[in-house]
Amino acid sequence: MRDPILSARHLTREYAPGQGCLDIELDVWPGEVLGIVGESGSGKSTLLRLLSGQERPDTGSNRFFTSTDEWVELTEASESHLRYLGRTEFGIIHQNPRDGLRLRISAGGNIGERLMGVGERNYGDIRARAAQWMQEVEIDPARIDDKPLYFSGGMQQRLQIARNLVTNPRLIFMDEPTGGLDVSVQARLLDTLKRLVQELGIAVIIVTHDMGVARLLADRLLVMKNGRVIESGLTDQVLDDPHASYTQQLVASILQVN
Amino acid sequence: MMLDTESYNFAYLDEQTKRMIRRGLLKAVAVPGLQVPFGGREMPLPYGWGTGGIQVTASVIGEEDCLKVIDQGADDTTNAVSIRKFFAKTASVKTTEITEEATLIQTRHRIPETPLSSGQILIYQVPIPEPLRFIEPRETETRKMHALSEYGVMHVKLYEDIAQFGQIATAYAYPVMVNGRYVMDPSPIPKFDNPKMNQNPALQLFGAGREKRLYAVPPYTDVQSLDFEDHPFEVQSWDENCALCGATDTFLDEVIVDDAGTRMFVCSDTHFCVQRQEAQNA
Amino acid sequence: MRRITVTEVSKTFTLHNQGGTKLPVLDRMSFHVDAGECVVLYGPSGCGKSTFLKMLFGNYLADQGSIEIHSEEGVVDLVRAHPHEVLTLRQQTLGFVSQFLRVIPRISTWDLVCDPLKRQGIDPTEIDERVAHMLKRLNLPESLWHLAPATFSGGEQQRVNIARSLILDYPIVLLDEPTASLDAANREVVAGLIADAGERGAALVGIFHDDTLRSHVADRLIHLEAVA
Repeated sequence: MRDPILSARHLTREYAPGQGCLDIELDVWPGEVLGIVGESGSGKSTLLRLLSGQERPDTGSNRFFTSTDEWVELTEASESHLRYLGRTEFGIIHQNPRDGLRLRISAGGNIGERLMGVGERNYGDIRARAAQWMQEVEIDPARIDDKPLYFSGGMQQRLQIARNLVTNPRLIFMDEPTGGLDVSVQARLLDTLKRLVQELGIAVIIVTHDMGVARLLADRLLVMKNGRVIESGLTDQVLDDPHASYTQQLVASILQVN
Repeated sequence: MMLDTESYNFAYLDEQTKRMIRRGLLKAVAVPGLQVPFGGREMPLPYGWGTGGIQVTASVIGEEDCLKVIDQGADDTTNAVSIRKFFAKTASVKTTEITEEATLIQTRHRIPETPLSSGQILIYQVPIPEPLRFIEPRETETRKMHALSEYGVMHVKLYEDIAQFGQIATAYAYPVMVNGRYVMDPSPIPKFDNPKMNQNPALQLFGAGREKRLYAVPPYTDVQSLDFEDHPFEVQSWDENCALCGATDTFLDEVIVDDAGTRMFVCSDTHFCVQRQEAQNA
Repeated sequence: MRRITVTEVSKTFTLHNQGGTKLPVLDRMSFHVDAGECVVLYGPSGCGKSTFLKMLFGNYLADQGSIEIHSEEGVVDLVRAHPHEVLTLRQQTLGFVSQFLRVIPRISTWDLVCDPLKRQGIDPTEIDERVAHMLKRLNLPESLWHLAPATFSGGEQQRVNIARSLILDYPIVLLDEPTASLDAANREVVAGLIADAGERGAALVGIFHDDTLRSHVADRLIHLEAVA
């Protein structure tokens, strides 16, 4: 089996006794989608911030294997290194596209920013790649000069995805990427995500409280409760044969939908 | 004119304040393009009229200095005249309109056409010192971006220009990279003047009064205007010559001369223009 | 050649949300399947046939015992395997024809059936040929090929499901009532597909409610009793 791309051990960040993330251990392999599920307050968003280096843990280690074949200990990496990784090897898709987009900058500028941030200086190339990525995420490239401020929520989210994927990251962090969207919009966005993840072979860590999203996208699942991982395994195994009492509750609450 | 020592300290500001500003300037010179905060004082003119520039001038001016003040290239506008009179009164220094004669030149929105020389100091009045502000409103974030040289967004601004207008439409306050390290707002000078900043023998100091920031470009420092490979930096050019002196290589202002809307183009640098006219008449 | 070795496998469901009720389903079950063999599980409903089949796919976890899958890359014990090993097995070794199509909405029949081949990196022209051939064989009219199966009839959905699950020549094929909603003609087709799989050396484990089909395809029957 190949080496993981991200490897966390004993990762702990406690805001208050029992709140946050406690002693998390996980590995993410290249090309896989890891789902993190659990109810609000279970620590899943905190875990995502810890894993992506947006927040430092109290203790524990979190190592990332870079495209240049080096292990970087993210918990000790300098802020500049983390931000560099954030522009090149990571992507972060926020639940609210407003957190991940510049709403008053054109769609093309939003996608191009990451390219310019890593030193691309050819306007024509940047624009061509922006248009190509708009197509990939199924936004009409004719809207390349429109500001996302005037886009629908679903389109904003698609633009956020394009903006992240343009520099070919190897690991994407997603926090409830379909959270604020209408069900039909959500479904189409999930299809796009699934297709892109498969085509590009990127690793994804996705936090969601929606078991349908987890089932559709994730290869493996971690179930969190009170800051700890209480169950993990193949997505269909965890959802079809849940062992922990909490996971059974979680699954029971969605069974009628299936 | 008599030095009014009874009411004012030399050059208006007290010595401690001047010292504080000079320390800031030293740091600014040591790290070209870095914005250094300073404790700005209330000056007897409104913000936006050059409170930053005037404090810098007050801090570096000495009795032997000869001061020139220009506003949009002109020595005779209200702002230029009042600031010149201010220092004539509070520091009793010599003032001039001749660029070559001046040891200190305080400017708003222009760099003189006459090339500056070693030993001269050019002091810019700056309204908004932060070049990243337009895209990133958070000061904590812009500081971090400077610290980490994360300047991708500067090109986003230029990208937006090209996308919208087919070319880089930014004509004033065109961002520059100083000494290969800090992106700097050159104050609202026309981009026509940007190339003059590069490797200039004079010391260039910048003062922003409202935002209380200093920054500097030491003599002979690289100052590069940001651009794209396929949309290189270009300065403005005019089809007309200066209607007064015939110059073809200066920054021209368009002036409306009568009620019928008759227009003419004249040098914005009044002293340079007058000099050329005198040379032609001689 | 041995394909599956099951040793002393037990499974009990614990229903935490119903007062921790324990439902024992399998008790120390052992058996094996060889290449080219078709083993049919049968017994009264509730005896754990389906649960057991799902355990062979790694969908349900066994509490104890071992389920060894013999693949080209060696032997993997599903009870202790890492999820990635299970995923690899599913991509290359284990085919599963479920009772119902877990419809992935909005994805066309064609793409659904192509998917397993694409993942194997098979040449696109070959994919096209194989998919077209399979869909024709299962009597799915061409007019449906580029539609998503969400709106299809039960029988049509089931045939899409079979096409998707049998498009790759998996060394092991698990069949959970594959013909439940099919008419006689299509049942014949499926029986043919199963026979083909056996001939090419696949090990088959299945559950069939249809007595005729069961006796037609089964090399061996394994009788399961409900665990008391």
